[in-house]
Amino acid sequence: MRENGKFFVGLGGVALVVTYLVWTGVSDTMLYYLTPVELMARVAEDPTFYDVGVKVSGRVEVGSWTRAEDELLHHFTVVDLENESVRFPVEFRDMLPDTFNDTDVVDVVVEGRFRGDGVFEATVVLAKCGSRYEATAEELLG
Amino acid sequence: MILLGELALWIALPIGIWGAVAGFVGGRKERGDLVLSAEYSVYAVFFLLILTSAGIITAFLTDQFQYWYVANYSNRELPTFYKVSGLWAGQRGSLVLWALLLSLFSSAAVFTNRTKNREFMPYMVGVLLTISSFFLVVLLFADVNPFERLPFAPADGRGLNPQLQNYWMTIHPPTLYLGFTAFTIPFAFAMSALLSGKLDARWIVITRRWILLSWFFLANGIIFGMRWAYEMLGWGGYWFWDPVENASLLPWLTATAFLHSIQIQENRGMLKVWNMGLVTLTFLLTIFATFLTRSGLIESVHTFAENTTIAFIFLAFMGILAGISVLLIAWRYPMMKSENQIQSFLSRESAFLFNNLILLGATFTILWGVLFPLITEGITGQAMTVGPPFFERVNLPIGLALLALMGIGPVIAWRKASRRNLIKNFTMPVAVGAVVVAGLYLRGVHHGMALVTFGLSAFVMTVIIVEFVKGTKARASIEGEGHLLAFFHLVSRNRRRWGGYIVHVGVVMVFTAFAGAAFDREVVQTLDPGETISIESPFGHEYTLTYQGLSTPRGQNMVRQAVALMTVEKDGRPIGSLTAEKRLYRRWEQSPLTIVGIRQTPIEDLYLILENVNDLDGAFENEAQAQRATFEVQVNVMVEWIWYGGFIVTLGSIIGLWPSRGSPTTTASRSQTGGKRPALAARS
Amino acid sequence: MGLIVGVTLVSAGVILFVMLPVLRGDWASMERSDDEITDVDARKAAALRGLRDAEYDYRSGKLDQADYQILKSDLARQALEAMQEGGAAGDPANDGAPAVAGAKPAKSSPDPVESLEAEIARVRKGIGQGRTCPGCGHLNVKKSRFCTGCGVSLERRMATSAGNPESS
Repeated sequence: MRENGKFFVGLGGVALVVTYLVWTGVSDTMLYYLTPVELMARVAEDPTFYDVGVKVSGRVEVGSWTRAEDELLHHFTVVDLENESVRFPVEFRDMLPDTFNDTDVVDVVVEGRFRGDGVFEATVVLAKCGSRYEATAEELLG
Repeated sequence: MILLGELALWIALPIGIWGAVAGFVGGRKERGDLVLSAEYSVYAVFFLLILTSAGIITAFLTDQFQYWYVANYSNRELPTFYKVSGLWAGQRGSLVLWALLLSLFSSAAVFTNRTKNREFMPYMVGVLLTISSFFLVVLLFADVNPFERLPFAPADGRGLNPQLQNYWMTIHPPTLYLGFTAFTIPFAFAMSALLSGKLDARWIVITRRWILLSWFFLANGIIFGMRWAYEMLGWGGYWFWDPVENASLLPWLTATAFLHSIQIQENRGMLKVWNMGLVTLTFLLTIFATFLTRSGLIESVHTFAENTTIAFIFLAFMGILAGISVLLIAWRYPMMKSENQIQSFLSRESAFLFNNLILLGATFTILWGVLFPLITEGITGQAMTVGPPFFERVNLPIGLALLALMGIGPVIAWRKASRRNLIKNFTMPVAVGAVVVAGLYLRGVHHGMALVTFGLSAFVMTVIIVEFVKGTKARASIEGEGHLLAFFHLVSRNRRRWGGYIVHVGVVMVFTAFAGAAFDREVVQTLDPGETISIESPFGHEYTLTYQGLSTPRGQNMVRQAVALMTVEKDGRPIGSLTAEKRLYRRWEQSPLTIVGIRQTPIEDLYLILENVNDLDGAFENEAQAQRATFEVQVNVMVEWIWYGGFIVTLGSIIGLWPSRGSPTTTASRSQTGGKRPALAARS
Repeated sequence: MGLIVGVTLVSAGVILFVMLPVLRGDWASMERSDDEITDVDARKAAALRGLRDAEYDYRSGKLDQADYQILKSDLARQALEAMQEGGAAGDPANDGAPAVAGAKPAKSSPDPVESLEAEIARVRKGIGQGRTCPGCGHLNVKKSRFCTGCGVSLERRMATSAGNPESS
């Protein structure tokens, strides 16, 4: 397709613009995707890691959910999926998804920043019913 | 019946494999009997999968909870509608549905080509049955058999996730799957063309309708999903750039590009290799979409259970298909030289090319964003993610560029547009766009991107309306028809073009709605009965909602239900009421479901969310003091334009799909399907 | 018991159905039938479509006259080429217009330009009689502004015979 020089000019132009958009988009908006264990490790070794935008995946600690009276404010604790001793409190000022509760096994992904006072200020909370989305045989029969 | 369905699955696999082999061998060795046997295999597999699906549905309808799949997605009190749709409620059944729809379209493709396009059929059937067999292999051997049994039957099933007990969520997966599987046909035709070396102008003409059909289902499926999200997720949003959402968008984007670039190939004999690549890419993206949904590889609220076996199987399948396609294209490259070249930047070819490049740019960026965690983890060991902010900011300019192109395309002529005429023809649309922008600005709309979008939308709409007017006039003068008749004939004699313009109108409406979202408002308040919550809409209306109280009916399959009633006034005038609910479904008592109340008008939606009842148990018990509740009220601007726009897209697609008399693909053919083995066999 | 019977019947039935062609020697056709679309037809259809679109584009002011003439002659040539290729093999297939009774051109070496005109007329559902060009005597479709035979303007004074003949 050597004859189609114009085609390649167009291709090059669009590719350049797209690459630029992606490059800046990524650098401006990307977030660390961490487990609670990793989050704690990072904060421990680098105090400026507080207040960096991060996304953390873990599990809701059973019974840890409270909400303020008359205010759209939730508190709950997120626990690491593998190491249950690693946990941190989360504060969230928006509506929680319906899939969220603190009685079932609920996996969450919280996005926000880990404040200096040790509380995770979440801007987005995604919840999913357990790592086993489908029940095991035991659960069904028991 | 259920057992028959299970065994049908086992019978289908050997038949599918036989048919695939027979198709390829029959094509290679020119054995018409093998080819016919292969075609019959397609029908047979379809028949068997009907039995399988019927078996699964029967299991649901008769509460056969000894089946793991039924136990997980149904319960006794589940409404019948959801028991039937249980077929695709979960991963295993969805795979059956995919296989069923694939075999449906394969049968349709074989049937409609009984007496034409015969030279393509052997390899086409071979490819189709190979892909079908793959899905059958997965179902039978990758631990996802829908007929798996438990040691003994539980008394009741686990019930269907309440969020899925919604009309839109029920039709959304099958519609998407119709789109995904329909695209296998163009892919199979393309592979057949490559394998047989019949790469002339025909295969594009033949597959065009299939591509449009697939595109049509994909577009609808995506919109149904948006509708579900808007109604069911209770946040007032309809798109979250979730990996699975994105995965369904990708093939739609490339299919859109393909619909445009095939016109270049048809008219000018160019972009043959490009189109082959696009067909392959789109098909691979459909497989990727199902792979992503099933593998749990990317974190998503949509994903089914993580199942690494399946992930690897699908990955391997995609890899093999990609590899074979690339090899075939490379092998046949010399036969796919362009017959012409682009004569001018100012041409419709050029505009279509930009359309393609931009759409592929969007595809790439979305794919990049979806795979970013995997890529970064693979390279640096630390996973990074990007979310809605990334996708929105990258796709906004792309969307605007596409919008602009929709206005430029119709006005610019093929090959080489006259610059003078171009300027003359753009004057009015540009003027209209500028007037709209100025008008909105003066009315207080200062949001830059929204203004640009609205201006471009007005520009495009003007172009399209003028096209219809000019076309009608031209036809009226050439043919001497009255204007109404001329309009009707204009559209019906060239359905592709005018159906396409109608689709563009729908797309413009949807883009406009997206821009409107920049002006959404929301208010949160906790109320006792009698208290009010007010919100002002961007259009200057004041909505006042008075909380009347909570009532506690109990719908089917629910354990508890609390319905909050609000009476609504708009600018001081009562306009009715809205309800919002919390529901506790049977077997899902831990997760109360939020049901929103929506009052839709063309310019704005009033959206009511019962965010929380302070004493929900008390409310369920109908205690008078337990009615204090927190509400969120939103005004969502122009959301209805999405649904109306979607409807218009559907209308335009149907016009484009409608067969016209005497078109090349519907030429009546009077040859026989075959006969006894001929004495003079096939050509050497 | 009933299950075993049912399954056996279904399996046997399906297998028999699938193997029937091989057992009986029924062959599916693998060749294009005569009146199916050919590559030539597809190209001709594209050229004719292009001609129709070009006329509309010209009438709606997207193409100026000079560009339109060039485009038209180019497309006409393409259509002609395709027809000549295909014409040798038999009558051209319908390509976008329903068969007009009695409009099939004669098989014995049809005048290509005449056939092309007939094709265009069919494509656009041209009505009734056309206009005869005073310059070359060519029969044009009704309301043509230019003669497709020689390019002369058919407007106003039909007597004018000067004009730029189209490059063929």
